[in-house]
Amino acid sequence: MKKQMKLLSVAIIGTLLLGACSTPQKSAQSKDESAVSKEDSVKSLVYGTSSYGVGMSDAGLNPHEDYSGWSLVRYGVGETLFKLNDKLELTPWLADSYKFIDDNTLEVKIKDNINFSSGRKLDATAAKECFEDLLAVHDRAPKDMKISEIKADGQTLTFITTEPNPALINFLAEPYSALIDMKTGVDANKNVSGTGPYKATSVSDTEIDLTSRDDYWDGNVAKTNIKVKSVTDGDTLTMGLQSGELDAVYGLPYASYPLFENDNYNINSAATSRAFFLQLNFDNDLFQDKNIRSAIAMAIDKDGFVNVLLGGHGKVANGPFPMQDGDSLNYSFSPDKSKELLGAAGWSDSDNDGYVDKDGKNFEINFLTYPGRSELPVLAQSIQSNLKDIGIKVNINSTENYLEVMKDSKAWDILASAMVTNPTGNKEYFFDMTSLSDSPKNRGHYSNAELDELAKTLSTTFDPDKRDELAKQMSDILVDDCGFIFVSHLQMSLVSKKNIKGLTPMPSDYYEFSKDLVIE
Amino acid sequence: MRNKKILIPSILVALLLIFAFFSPYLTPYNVSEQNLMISRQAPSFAHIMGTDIYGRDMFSRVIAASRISIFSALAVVLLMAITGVVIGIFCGYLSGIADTVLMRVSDIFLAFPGLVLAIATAGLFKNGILGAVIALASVGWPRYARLSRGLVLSTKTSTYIYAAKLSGSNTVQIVFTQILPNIIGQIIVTACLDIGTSLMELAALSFLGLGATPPTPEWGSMINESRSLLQLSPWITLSPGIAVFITVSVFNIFGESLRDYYQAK
Repeated sequence: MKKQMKLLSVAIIGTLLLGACSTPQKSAQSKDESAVSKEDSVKSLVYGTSSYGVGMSDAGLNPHEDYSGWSLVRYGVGETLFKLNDKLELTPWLADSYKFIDDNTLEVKIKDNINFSSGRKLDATAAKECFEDLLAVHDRAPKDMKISEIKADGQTLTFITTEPNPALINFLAEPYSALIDMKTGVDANKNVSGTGPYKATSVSDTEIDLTSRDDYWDGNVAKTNIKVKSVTDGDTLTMGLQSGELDAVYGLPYASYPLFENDNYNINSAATSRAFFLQLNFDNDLFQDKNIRSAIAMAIDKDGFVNVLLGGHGKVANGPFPMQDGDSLNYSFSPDKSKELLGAAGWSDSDNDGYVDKDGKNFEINFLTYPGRSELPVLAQSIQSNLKDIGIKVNINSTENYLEVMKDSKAWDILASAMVTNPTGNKEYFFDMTSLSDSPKNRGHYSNAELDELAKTLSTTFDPDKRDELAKQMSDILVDDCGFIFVSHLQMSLVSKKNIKGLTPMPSDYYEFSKDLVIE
Repeated sequence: MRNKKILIPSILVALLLIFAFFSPYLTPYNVSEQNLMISRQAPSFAHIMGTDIYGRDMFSRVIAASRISIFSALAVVLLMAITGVVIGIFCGYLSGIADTVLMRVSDIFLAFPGLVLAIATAGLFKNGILGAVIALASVGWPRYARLSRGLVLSTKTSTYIYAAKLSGSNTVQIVFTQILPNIIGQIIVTACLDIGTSLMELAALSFLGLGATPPTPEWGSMINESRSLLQLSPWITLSPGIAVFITVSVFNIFGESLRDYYQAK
């Protein structure tokens, strides 16, 4: 009996021990399975944006066409050799290092561990093929980059320029410089193979389907399928996010933000260099008088526009580039001082009709803008009221056809527009485009010899600190002369459901989706 | 009894027109003066319809907008009715090749959705309410041309027309003394019913930015400017919306009662 009891005890203990051994094993196994299934489960995200589509000139993902490179980089499919950080400073991205061999030669070493989504390795030859196509077909790149020859050797890419071009590395951060595999090329739907954390599975003028890459060179990417939808109407975006049809959006009307300022949503914002500013038509003799220009600058209530009409989603501007701490406004809001300046210019309300006049003619100006940027018609109405207060009558023409209207220089006096003033960390860009005597977007024919001279110096200066100093001087001249009147800078905001993390806007306006995007 | 049924709508229309005509003198506040300190204030004793994003008094703007909104709608109807009736009578009475050509032209106009054609036409004009009025009138005349042509065709074979011809009346005299008085009732009824539609269409064009230019208050453009605020500051959108609703209803009731009046007659 004792023997039987002993055998029974051994059997029970043995069974328990086996059980004890097997249970954790089973538990660990199930944990592993759960982890695998968790890892394998692909999350989905529907992203609505007002910034994608034919109307924005960025439909498709071909970086060598128009502004489509912006879509390629924004949605994490393509990457550039250099990237702009949150201070708009250049940092290497696909590049490992760089150096200017001489004023006309830039050598860039490309990282060695990068593959396109097509599977091809990114080396200097692949990059050269891409840049050669860019320079052959793109409208802006050849003029910006001034490249005469590209050499490839292993991972070393060498650019030779026709003339000294200190801003070349800045243009290598422009989305049109995103590297794509030219062997797979651009398909009929404008899809490409890039190096980013996502690849596009379907591309159309209104939607892009993205899926995360398993073989991304810069770390793991959460398994995610993303649908980017073009939604041009801000109110549709609002309702889409409220109804749950969209998970994240860009381009909400300012008035809608309070609807999402609660625990169910994330609002991530960044101050950008997109400026809302006025160009005066210098073909109109009125604006040759600095008193008049200053009077207009001081009559505009920039604080009211930013804090009330934009609901605080912006920053008051004192120049083309966002104000830094400690900067102060050159022409602060002062209607009384504006009236004095108008008086000094010979304008007064002699017939008490509410408008200042001179030689029997009221001060009346045609204010041109376009509704493509929803802030601009609001700004126009705000300025109309501001200028009425100092006795200037403003007739607003808000039309998408504004370029056609401008062909008649008598049809407009002030143009309100928006522009990214520092897109690649190269401040020279703004002046080149808008405010030099021969700038292509100098709509009002503003001309300042000192500014033109400084621009020449800036174009041949390589030292980043000196370039910054020169750009600051030029900005000060432009603002002091009231050649342009800067009102505000845009604050870019991405709004998403609470469970979406890592959707963070950057000041450069180029980057939206990254490997950090996670849906919890 | 018949007269009584039309009396109340007529009084309402008359009151509305008088109110719209004198509206600029009835506003408690300046309609275009901005005051950002009181932006988007909810209705209160000081501002019974609240204020808009620029701090302008909504009640004043809704009142002031009545003149441009209502009289623009009347102008649209008047323009398309006169054009359409002249063409319709010409075609109906004279017939022949001119009738065929003009009716085919009107067929082309009728083949397009009216508002879509109006949007395209308004785009040809400079921004402004005048452009919107001309655009709507230029696409609305064929209905009146068709209607009046049909009425003329059924009238011109009447015995009293033959009698007029035999008595020596010329074409112009017959048109003005015999035909027009007999068809005008139906034209007026149609026109009255169209006032409400025109007002809505003008509001739609203004909503699309093809109507009144800022800071002129106009109901359609006021709704357009404030649509993003519907959830947070609904009074800014609803105030002009209610004004459109009331005005369209009054004109439609008037049109219906006028039709009943003429039918009974």
